[in-house]
Formats: sequence, C-alpha cells, structure tokens
Amino acid sequence: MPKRIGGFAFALAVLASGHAGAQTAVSGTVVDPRGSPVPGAFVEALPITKGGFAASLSWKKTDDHGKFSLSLGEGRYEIRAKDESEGYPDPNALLSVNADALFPEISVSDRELRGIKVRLGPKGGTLDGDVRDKTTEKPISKAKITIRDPRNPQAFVEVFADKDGRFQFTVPPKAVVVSVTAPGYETGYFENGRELDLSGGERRTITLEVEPR
Amino acid sequence: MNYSRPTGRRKPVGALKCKCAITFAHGDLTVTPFLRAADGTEFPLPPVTIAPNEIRAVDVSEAITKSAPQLKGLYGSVVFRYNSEGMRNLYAAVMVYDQGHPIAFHMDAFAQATDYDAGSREGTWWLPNATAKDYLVLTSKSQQPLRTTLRLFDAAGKSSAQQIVLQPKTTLRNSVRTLIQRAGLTGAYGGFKIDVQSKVGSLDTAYLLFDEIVGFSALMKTFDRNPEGKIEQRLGFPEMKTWTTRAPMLALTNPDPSLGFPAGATLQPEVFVRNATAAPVAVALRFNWRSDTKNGSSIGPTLQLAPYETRLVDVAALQRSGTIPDQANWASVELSSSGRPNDIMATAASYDRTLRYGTQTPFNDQLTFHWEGGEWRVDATHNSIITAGNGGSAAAKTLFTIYYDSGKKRYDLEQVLKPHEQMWVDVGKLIHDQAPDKNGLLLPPDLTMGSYELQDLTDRGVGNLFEGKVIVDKTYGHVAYGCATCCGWNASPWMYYDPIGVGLGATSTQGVWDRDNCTSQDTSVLEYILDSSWNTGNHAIATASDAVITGVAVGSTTNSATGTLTIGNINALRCPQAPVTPSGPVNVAPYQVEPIATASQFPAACPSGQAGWNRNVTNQVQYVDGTAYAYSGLTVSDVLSVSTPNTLGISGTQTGTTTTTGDGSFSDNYSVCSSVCPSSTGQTDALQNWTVAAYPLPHANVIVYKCGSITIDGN
Repeated sequence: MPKRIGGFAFALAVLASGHAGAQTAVSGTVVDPRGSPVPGAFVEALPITKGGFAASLSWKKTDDHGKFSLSLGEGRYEIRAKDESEGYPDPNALLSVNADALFPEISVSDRELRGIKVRLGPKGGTLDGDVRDKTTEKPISKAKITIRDPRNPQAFVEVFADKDGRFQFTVPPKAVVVSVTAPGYETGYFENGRELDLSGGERRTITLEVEPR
Repeated sequence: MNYSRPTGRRKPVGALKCKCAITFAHGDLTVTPFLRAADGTEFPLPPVTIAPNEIRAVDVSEAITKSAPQLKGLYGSVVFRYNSEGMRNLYAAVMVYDQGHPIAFHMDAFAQATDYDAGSREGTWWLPNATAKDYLVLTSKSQQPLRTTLRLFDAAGKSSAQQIVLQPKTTLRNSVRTLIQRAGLTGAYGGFKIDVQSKVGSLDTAYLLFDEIVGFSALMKTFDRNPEGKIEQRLGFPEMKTWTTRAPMLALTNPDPSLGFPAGATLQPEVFVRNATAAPVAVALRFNWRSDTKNGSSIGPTLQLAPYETRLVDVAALQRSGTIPDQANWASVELSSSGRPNDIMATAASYDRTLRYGTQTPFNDQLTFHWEGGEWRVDATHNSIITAGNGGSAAAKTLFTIYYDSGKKRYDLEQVLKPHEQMWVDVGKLIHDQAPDKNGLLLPPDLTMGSYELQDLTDRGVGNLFEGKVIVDKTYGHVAYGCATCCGWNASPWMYYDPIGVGLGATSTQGVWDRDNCTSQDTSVLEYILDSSWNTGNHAIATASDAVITGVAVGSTTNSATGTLTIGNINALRCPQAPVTPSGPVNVAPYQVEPIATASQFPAACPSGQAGWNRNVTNQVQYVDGTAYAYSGLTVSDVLSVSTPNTLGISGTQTGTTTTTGDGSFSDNYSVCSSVCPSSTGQTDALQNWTVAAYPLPHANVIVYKCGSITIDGN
C-alpha cells in the first residue's frame, strides 16, 4: 500500500556518517597577529583525512576573551578562525590563504585538549557595493561578483548580490580584480579591471555598472 | 485464489460452451482454469492471459476433447486460479449453451466465502410443467467433508429433511422433482434450505431447470443466509431499519420488442417470495415499471408469510387490475422487510404459457458505487440489454461504460438517476443507431462483444447502484440473465500523509485514500469520511477538524477519522458496507531546512594534497509548504551522511550547531575537500539530516559535492 511520507521519499544509501560516538573537548584562544585575544571571532575544525571531507554548519564563536571550545571526535583536525566583521577574511577561500596565519593541526583522542592557540593572519578589508544597470541605474538583483587574484586566477570568490543589488565581502590583504556578470548583461569590471587592494580593516564601497546586451 | 462454479447440466459436458474470465486489474492477469470432475479430480486447462477489461473465452467442449476426453458425458465444476492483488480483479462466469436449443445458463463464479461459518443456502424450486427436468447442484470447495442438511418445503412450509455429506471438492446433483415425490410433498413450487454448521462459504449451489421438448430453461438463483446477519452489514447505515432486495429486469406481460419474441407473445410475470425463517414475516412489494414512453412506480401488495411459506405473486394479475400499467414492458421489483437479510428471498420469472419464450431476473440486495460487468453480445441473432438502478434516497449521477477492442476502447454514457429510477441501455440499439456517447464517440457498426462497467459518480464511497443484464437469443427466443460483480474498497483506507507534518500554530490538510478492489486504482475517499469524525490522540499537541490538522505544540500524536465504505477485499459473496477508521501519526514541527540565498562560493583552501569547493548560504527552517518557520533562538544541528558511490572519496564529515534568527534563518557554510580534486569530474552525494529544537525534521537535504560546485536539493 503506497503511503506518502510528508510528500517526499528518501532513497540514498548511507555509506558513512560524521564523527559520531565519543566526543573530546578541545579549547583554546583566537588571537590577532599581535597576540591579542579576538572576541566574536569564528572557529572551525577541518578534518584531515586521507581522501577528503565534507563539512557544514561548522563555525563556533569565541567568547568575550577570544576563547573557544569545541567537541570533536577522534581524528586529526586543522583549527581555523576568521572575523570578517573586523577584516579577517574567511580562511577557507583559496583566495585568502596567508602564510602569516597560524592554524594549528591537532590530533584528538580521548584526552581533552586545552590551550590551543589560533592566530589570525593580517587584516584585509570589507568591500561593500551595489550593482546597477548602466542605462537605467536600477539595481540588478541576480548579479554575480567575482573577486579574483590576478596572479593566481584559480583563486577567486563569487559573491551574489541581494535583491537590492547589494553585496559585501571581506577580501584578503592582496590585490584583486573585481568583475560582475548578470543574466542579460555584458560582463562588467571595476574600473576597467584595475586592481583593488584593501588592508588593515579598510572599508570600501563601490558601484559596479553593467550594460545590457 | 480459487473461483469455482458448478456446471450441472444433464447434457454431456462436451456439448456445452463455457465462457469465462474478464479482468479489471491495471495489468494483465494470468488465469488457469481447471475442470473439476464430480469426484473432485482436477484437470488443468491451458492458462489464459487477460488484459484489463478484456474478455477471454475458454471453450470447455474443445478443452475436454483436447485435454480431458475422459470427462465427456460427465459433469462437475470449474475452478479459476490466479495470483492477483485483489480477489475482485477477475470476473468469471460459466455460460452454458445447449447448441441448437433455446436453453442457456449463465453462472457467475465466486470465491470461497469466509465472512461467517454457520449458515444456509436458500432457494425456491419450481416445476412449471409436468415434463421440465431440474437439478439442484451442490459443490464443495472445502478440503474437508462438508456436512449439510437439505430441507425441502412445499408452498405452505411443510418440510422434509435429509443429511448430505459432500466429500472434498465434489459436486452432487439431485432432481428436486424426484426428492419431492419421495418426501410426499406436492405442488408446483416451494423452497429449499441447505443448512451447514461449519464452513458454509465452502458450499456453492445452483438450481436449474429445463425442458427440451418445449424449449424452456431457467436458472433459479440461490441465496446465502447468515442467521446472525444484520441489516447494517448489508445495506450500510446503522439508522437503516428496512432491508430491501431488488430484481432489476422483470419482463412484464407485454414484452419489450427488443426481446425479439414473436408478435402476440404474452408473458406471465411471477415472483416467488419465500420466508426462510421459522417465524412469520411481512414483506412489502414495489414495482418500478417502464415502457417505451413512460415510467413510474407502483406499490404492490404487502404479504404476510407464514414460517417457511413460499408465495407466488401473480404480477400479470397486478397488471390486469391496473396496479401496474398494461403497456409497461419492464419492472424492477423491490421487496422490503424488517427482518434480517435474506430472511426473505425471492426469484422472479416471466414466461409465456408454452414456456418457450421468457426470461428471469434475480433478486439482489447489493448496492455499490462500482459494478464490473461480464460479456455482452450483439450480432444478427443476439442482443444485450443492461440496466443500472438507483436504490438510494437521493439522485445519483451514473456512468455506464462499454469496453471493447480487447478492453482498449471505451464508450461512456452518463445519466442522473432519481431514486428508484433506472438507466436502460439497449446495446444493440446503440450500435445500430450509431448513438454518440457523452464524448461524441460512436461504437463501431460491426461491434459484436465487449464488457461493461457501472459507476455511481455521486457517492463513490458506498454507492447506491444495482444492476442487471440480459442477453437475448433472437433465434430461439431465449433470454439469459447475467450478473456483474460488485466492487468495493479495501477495508483499510490510509491517511495520505503518513506521517503528516504540521507547523506549530499552522495547519495541514490531510487526505484519505483507498484502493478499488476490482481495478486496483488508488483514489481519494476523503469525501466519504465523516467531517465530524476527525480527531487526534493528544489535543495538547495537535487538533483535527474536518481533515485539517492544526499544530498546538511541538511533539507527536496521531490523527484518525471514521467513515463508511463499501468493502471489496473480503472473502464474501457480496461487498458489504462497513465502518472504516484510517489513522496515522502527526508530527507538529517544522518540516525542512532549505537555502533561501547564496552569499558566496569559491575554491576551497584545503589541507595539503586536497582541493575542493566552499559555499556560504542562508538556510531557513520551513514548514512543509516552504513557508518560513519564523522563530528565533531555535537550536539547529545537522548530520551529514555520505552516500555511495563516493567518487570523491570523502571519508570524514564535520557538522555543528547554530541558532535561528527571527525569520527562522541562519548562515551556513558547506565545504568539501578531496584528494581527487580539482581534476575529478565525479561527485559524491550526502544526506543532510536536520534537528531543530531537538526535533528531527522529516525532510533531509540531498547535497551533491563536486570539485567545483556544491548543490543543495538540486539548487
């Protein structure tokens, strides 16, 4: 007898599940490049496995003293941190890789780990902007803004404008090129492809204009 | 599944034609017929595969010649075996013809009934002249000896009894004329009762009579009687106090020209009404008559029947007295009493004085929403008349469908029938006149056979239709009636959403579905569930009102409702009405988490030797309809389960928890790193199961990871 289960059916076979079972407490502090604790930063533990991993919903916020506490299953991890509101970019982006950051690799067993220190790399900047139709000046909601390292084209970030055509992203402290695409429009470039370099927590607001095809 | 039917003609079986089998199921059905000799020995015939609504005939005479010549000159029964989801996916009948004579019998096959154990088979015997021969045929479907008591009654109820033990699967035939003479009973008609103390559903009976000298034959229907039977089991609703049985096609004195009787032929319509009990019973008669131009309804006499009395009602006399108009050709006869079902039984027959021309119509108390009929024939020497009547108390929109071309084509007629009114279909006339159906389609002029179906479109839960069919043999002036099989629902309708998810403070509309036991089609039966019957197991969690479930507090409970449906998936000779109570779980909670926006995505910075992708989204907790579960501060957590094939070779997962904002949304990041990236074009799928406020959501997201993308539920 056929039955509806909430209107959907599940059909995928399960091979492996996440780190279930015993969890071990791992705690530490996030500091800035000068060694000061960073309250309100975000911390995550990336599994280091032979084949690879998948993750979601993995960021945890530091307390007022920059301290964090994670519960992790047995295995090896890299502890990463970010604080985009203060200009510290998302370390998960290839674009943001910075050798000055200290993201320690830890091995978790059944013993609690304390005193882990995570050091943020140098501050980048916050890029605010909006995308407009060059002819009508109206905002374009479905625009995709690409921020690319001109010296390493494989390192880029795609940011999506909201319904009002606005976007925001914390860029690393390096020169980047900003371009924009939108359905029905020609590809547009920030100042015809001129490099943009934000650092030290600088905030820059730009307008990207695109021409209809 | 065994269907069996006695074939008790005196003629050598090899001289008989046997036609059988029509299927209503969605798919083909393979049926293996077996000839069962009187001693129970079985002889298999080649299997027959039947398409939906197709009729396939098995010529028993030919089959005996080829496969079982030792059966020539003998008698027995026919068994139909098949594997099918529903017992009523197959309609089968034995059609016995005495080639070259106006003698024919149509006998429906029935499965072994198990709905009650002790009971009786009841009938009336009739010896219309001094030369008619008759057979009372008893067939056992049981694997064990069947102990019966045969009691014969004269018209006044005087009786004689004898014990008969039927050995397993055997067939026995007796001449009632002979038995009556031996018992010292007299008269031209009376009754019989075959009592069975255990497994009465294993007994099948037929009473047939014929006279080859005058060219007469009749099949007097026999009835099953459950001494504990209740009116509400047979006719539906507890408030019903009167049991009614109907004979749909009583040919009146002035025969319908479409019957093909010679000019001037005058019939003598008669109804034999029998009291099958040891107590006096009152019976009311009603005649719903029709002619070419008029129809109407006449109240007949009310009979006071003594215990076991059989009374002959002279309908011709009612016509002569003006109770029923003289010019009327047909009547459906309604017989009502306040006793148990089949305390009263009746048969009706109309023959001319010579018995050469005439027909019968069987009584039946079955009303249903769906009938599947057997074969109709129309050719130079045959015609078929089919009727559907409204036995209910309100108008019924009725759909009559003819199937032809091996069940592949259909022809539909629709008519609204008032209570007591009948739809009258002369199939030969439809073909001859090239009458369009409701869709403007015509039947092919050379069409000669097919099947039919009747549906009550007004009440498809219980239904109020009765039916009848006669096939006219114009060559011999013989008319044989045939029956359709009642269809019903499975006894366990189900909640459409099982479980049903409903948001806190929100509503979800539930449905109730069931399966037609003839067609195996699943259909909503919600409108036959009582609006006021909906309820939940815990009103603190959810409430129910007329199929609308409202979430009161996060948690789980049940939802249920009650209604009455005609039931078809039971081993019974009929489709009884019965209360049904569908139920299922209710979960009051959000249903799913879905992304409502993507903030950014990019190639990921992975551990050494790996590459991958990262996507940052805004997820939102939602109801089943996709609207926001707009509560802030809810704790949300997830678990990723990697599926096979795992082309990216992912061997670890990492997930966490967060809390919602006022619109039920939260930021989430999805990332993947793999040692086969960035060169691989393969993918690995994973299920993302969510828990919100400690409640696991019914819906899991399907995540597709590739080296250069991550999609969530296809987006």
